[in-house]
Amino acid sequence: MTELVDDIIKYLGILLLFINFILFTKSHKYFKMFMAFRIFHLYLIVSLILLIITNIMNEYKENNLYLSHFYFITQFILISLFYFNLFKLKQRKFIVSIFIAVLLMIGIQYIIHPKILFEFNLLEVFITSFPLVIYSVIHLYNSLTTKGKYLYINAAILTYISASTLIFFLGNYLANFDNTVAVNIWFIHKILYLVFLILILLEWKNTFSKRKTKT
Amino acid sequence: MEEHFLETQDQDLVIAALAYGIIFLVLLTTGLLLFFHYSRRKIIQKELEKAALRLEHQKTILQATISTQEEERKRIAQDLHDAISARLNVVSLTANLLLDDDDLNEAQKLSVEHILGITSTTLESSRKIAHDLLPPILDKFGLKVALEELFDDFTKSKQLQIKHSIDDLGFLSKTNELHVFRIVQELINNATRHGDASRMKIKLQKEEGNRFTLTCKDNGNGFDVSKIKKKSGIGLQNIKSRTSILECDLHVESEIDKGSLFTIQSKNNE
Repeated sequence: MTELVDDIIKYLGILLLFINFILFTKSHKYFKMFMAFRIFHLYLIVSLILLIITNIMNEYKENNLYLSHFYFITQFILISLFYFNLFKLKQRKFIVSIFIAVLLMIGIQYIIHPKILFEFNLLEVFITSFPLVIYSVIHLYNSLTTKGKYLYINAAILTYISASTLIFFLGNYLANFDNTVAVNIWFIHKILYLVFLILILLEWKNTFSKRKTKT
Repeated sequence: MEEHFLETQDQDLVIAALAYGIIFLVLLTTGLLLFFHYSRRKIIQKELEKAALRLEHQKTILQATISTQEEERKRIAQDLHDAISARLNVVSLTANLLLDDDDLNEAQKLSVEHILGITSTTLESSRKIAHDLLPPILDKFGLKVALEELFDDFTKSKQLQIKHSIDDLGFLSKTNELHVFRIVQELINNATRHGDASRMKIKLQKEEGNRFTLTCKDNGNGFDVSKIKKKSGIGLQNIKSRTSILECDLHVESEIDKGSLFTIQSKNNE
């Protein structure tokens, strides 16, 4: 029974991600006005591809943990770019310096310890997620006095990334467990991801669905 | 066996801690978002209040300007009448007396006649200026007559046909009557000057509870209403200010090449 619910939630997540991807693709022609959406669209595409690959590999019981590095690093790059588009000049410099520092640190780490490619890299999880949380808080601050943009996406990023980071911190520990114990935590993770996707859907609805009826 | 049991217990503890940690984080971020949402609402509210205050201030200044302007006009008209017209009348009378004098030769008579001519044209123009500054008819006979006279002036002098139906608005104060008069004057001026209108329809209707509606329709060139909203000229600005002094709403309908319709209606205070 619980497995069934788990599967439903899992496929609902993929379906919702796919719907988001389709909707954002459909609104492609407005992206000139919303540069940040273009980047977020790219993020959705990458997420969708990764999610499908991990699920397929899971079916064949392959170790897919090394994909997590790809996920964290592309997520960091794309979401940093997303905020880079929204921020003012001074804050952009801040993003660029963090960006360079993080990529340097990860690169050096992999050169010194290539072995960690096959497990969760805790340092990587931390330094690729924490700046994103900081960016989203900065964006909240920026939106205080203005007509805020991308507030749903921002809320989604803030909640999902901070909570999922905590889960990934114990990723190595959870990976060693038999499935029955760890499944609860991964279940929570899936629910969080669903909420994340629903918020993105709301963002699309707020920005584009009205525009469509107008034209 | 016992070791394994302990291990699972440890695992359960860690999982529970993690679960609470996640819930804690989710609540924390939600709290942050809520805090943001409410602060933002408060800040925007404050900004709106500030903007409203600024607007109110501007409105007061504009109204003060208009009332000062009217007062000045009235004073100048009065002065023209008292100081210049009255004295010119004396000049004209004296010149007439001189003309009757038989001792004057032809050349002198011509000069006096010249003086008389100039005095009477000056008198006429000073009367006209005073009239434009403040129509005395408005003061003496009220809005309805003054408006009808205004329409007649336009119909006579220019290629403009004005159809009108004017109700008597007895409840308006003298200053408010003047505002209505100025609005109509400005609207006609706009229609002829900017709109090249040849026909106008003006209707002033009395309504229940000391309220009224003024509609003014022309067949001129029309304009883009959205542009006017962003930036309006002095004339329209004047109309707006006077409308707000009268506690009325101004509604403008217009399209390029399709004429325009101005509706000014008393606000419903009830």
